[in-house]
Amino acid sequence: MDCCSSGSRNGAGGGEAESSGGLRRWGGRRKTKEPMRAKEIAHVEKYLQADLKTFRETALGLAPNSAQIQRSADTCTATRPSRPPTVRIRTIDRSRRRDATRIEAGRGMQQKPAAEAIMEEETEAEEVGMAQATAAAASAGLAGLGFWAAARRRLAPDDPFFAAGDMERELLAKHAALDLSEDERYQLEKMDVASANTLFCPISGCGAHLDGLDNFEDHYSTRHTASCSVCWRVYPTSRLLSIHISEAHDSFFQAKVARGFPMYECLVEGCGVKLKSYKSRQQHLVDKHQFPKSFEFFKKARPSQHQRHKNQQRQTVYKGEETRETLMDVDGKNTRHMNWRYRRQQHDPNELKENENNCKEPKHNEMEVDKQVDELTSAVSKLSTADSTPSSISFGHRRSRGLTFVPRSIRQNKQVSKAEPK
Amino acid sequence: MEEGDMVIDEEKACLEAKTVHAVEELKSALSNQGKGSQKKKIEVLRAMRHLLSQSEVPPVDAAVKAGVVPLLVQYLSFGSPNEQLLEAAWCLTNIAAGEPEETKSLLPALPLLIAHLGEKSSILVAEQCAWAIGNVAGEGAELRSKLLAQGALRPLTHLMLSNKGSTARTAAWALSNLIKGPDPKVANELIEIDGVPNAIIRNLEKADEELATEVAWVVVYLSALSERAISLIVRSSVPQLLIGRLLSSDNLQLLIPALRGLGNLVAGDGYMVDSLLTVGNNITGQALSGLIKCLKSDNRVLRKEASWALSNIAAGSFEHKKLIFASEATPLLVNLIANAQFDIRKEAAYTLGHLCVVPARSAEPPNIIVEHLVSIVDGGALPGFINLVRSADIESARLGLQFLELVMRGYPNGQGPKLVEMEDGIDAMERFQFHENEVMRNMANGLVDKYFGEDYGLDD
Repeated sequence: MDCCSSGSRNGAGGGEAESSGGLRRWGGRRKTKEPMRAKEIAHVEKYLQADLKTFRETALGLAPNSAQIQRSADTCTATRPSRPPTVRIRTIDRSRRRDATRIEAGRGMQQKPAAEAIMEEETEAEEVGMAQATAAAASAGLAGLGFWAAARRRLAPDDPFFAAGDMERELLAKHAALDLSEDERYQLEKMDVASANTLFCPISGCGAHLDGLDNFEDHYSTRHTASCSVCWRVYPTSRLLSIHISEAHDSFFQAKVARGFPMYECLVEGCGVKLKSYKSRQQHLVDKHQFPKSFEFFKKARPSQHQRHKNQQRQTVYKGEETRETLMDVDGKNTRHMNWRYRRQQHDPNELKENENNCKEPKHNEMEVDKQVDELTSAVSKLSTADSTPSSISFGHRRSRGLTFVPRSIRQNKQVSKAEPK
Repeated sequence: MEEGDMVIDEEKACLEAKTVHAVEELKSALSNQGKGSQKKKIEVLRAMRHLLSQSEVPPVDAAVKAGVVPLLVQYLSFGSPNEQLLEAAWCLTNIAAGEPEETKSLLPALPLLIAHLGEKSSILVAEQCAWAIGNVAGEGAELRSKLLAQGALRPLTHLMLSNKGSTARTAAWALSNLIKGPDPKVANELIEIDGVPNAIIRNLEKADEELATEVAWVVVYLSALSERAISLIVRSSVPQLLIGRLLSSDNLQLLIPALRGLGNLVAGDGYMVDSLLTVGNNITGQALSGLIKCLKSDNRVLRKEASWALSNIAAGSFEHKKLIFASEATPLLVNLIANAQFDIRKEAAYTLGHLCVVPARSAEPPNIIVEHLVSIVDGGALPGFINLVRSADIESARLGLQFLELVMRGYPNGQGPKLVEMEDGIDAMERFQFHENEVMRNMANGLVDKYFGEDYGLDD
């Protein structure tokens, strides 16, 4: 093992200056584009392999490839090639570092040196500015409805948008004999896509850090779908769920309401106001917190076709708890994961009837029906839980449906057993 | 510790020892006089250069710590033989290619490196110095401004005009690093230098792909940073040349800057879309073909940046929208919005949405091109937009909501809301009930109120 003797300079230097006396000394080996000899190529590849190793370790967090290390160690001890490679390390870009840290730079956008960090701040400020401008436009626009703006978008040269292209340039310039595996390519892409922003969950009061855009879905479904074990309604926070449980399933709550205590909490966290009735709470939300007028905490939602399909699947799973109610529950009221949504009042009159008939919690429904009816109509109250003919009831401006009416939700959902109004 | 690790450490120590020794040799050779001293200098320089250019991790750190840079500066002194200058510059090049601190260690060498760029220097020496300077410039804005203050711009530019291909290429590459900002000042200066616009045009037109690639990167940064440059470039033959390269080359290294340069020009100056790429001109059809070629590419960078460029053309006139809509681009984009990664989906969304609207007077909702909207929705783009609504990224969510507004307002026979509902759009919008962003909340709530309110579904 001769690697420490200072004398040996890979003597058989061949086309190096030694033999050619100064003319061909840099015979095209600096820039790898010009023809390289086989041994040099081998050395370049080893160099690139070293990069790949470091890339794997650092950027991808994978274990070092010890087999590779061994190999390189071997070449140290083995007979040296006749001439050391004279590959000049040419770096391309602002990240410019030779090895894997260059790729990390794509990810570690936040770690730029001071001067570039300033640019980053400016870009962020720009984005905030833009967001504000859009907000201004939106609210200056009609009733907060933001409209599509067809306009050119310009990007600064160091915008994270271009990071992928810059990285590609780096890799190509080193003749990417990096030979990334499928998985590594995927990781690299994921990193690139996710690298642009640090994300936090946008649901008010949550603030959880999101590890990437893909993870938002997972986060949302684990953290923001708190479901009621009594009626299976789903809420985005446990606080709302708990309010729901008190208001909907707690007789003690009702008792206090009846005695005139202000029990209905404002839904906005931190507000603290309590009102005496559902309606007045509603009004408070509209007046003080600019909630839309048709906002409904208890909803009579009609889930989408997709949702209904999902609900049906779950209903068959929960056989044990099945009752006529669940089977008849065509609007998904009693199924899990019915997302808390806006009330849609399309066939309320007769659907209400449906659910009244089948519901196990008359009291609960009474309250709900109250709300619905309040909204729908000024007059008729249908609070009876007994079977009754829907026939031609009209509420307010509704057309009468008559006996032949079958709620759309039933019609459309072929999997539900027909629940004709009796 | 594994045996592999142990061997590595040994090897590393071995290398470091050699490096320290080499530095010592460099030092002592400097003080040599007399016969054979010049030869000795070259020898020790070469030894250093070998160490720094070997394929495993070169011992840059060890060399710098051992004080190699000040020594190399001395080897760079005026009047030294070319071979010596070359080897010294080569060593500095590779040191500059190391860690940031290592690059910074080149500071004392900069004035000499810049000086040796001059027209009296041997072209090979100048080229090597340009390479070293390019590495330094690539490190960061601070070093860039140092180089500029010391006058690196002009001599480098002069080298870019060289007839020698490798020199022009190295100089162009170094320049692209030097002008990349964020200060636009340099870019502004560069375009004003005599001969630069012509050199750019000449090289984009005739040079081999390697040189054209580096020149294209210069165009990328000029067009991203300098208003003056954009204004000159869009009126020259450069756009046509970029488009030509885009169409004719299959070399990814060239395609990336050609595409981005085109994208920057389209984004940066209305002249491109309004005057140059007007519908009916040959160049417009070619540009579209070039962008479509990129949309179809296996390479995701091309797909992504082409989508962005296309979106800016789709934001143009009604004629542009018709042209793009009728082309292959539309089904490609619909596929992208459904299946691609997030960042590409966003760009595809921009383009598809732009195809569907013509701006109205301010504060009024945009006019919808119903034919386009229907075709795009029927083509299956809606789930992709709804997916964006679900995104944690505000901009994407807003984009999705805005498109849903178009669908619900503009899809014929009032079918919009139903279509949206069928794809779980209501669910997606309701997420915003408790979104912390008030604008988003209001937007989503407003839409649900308006389209899924009391009267929804009555007309069945």
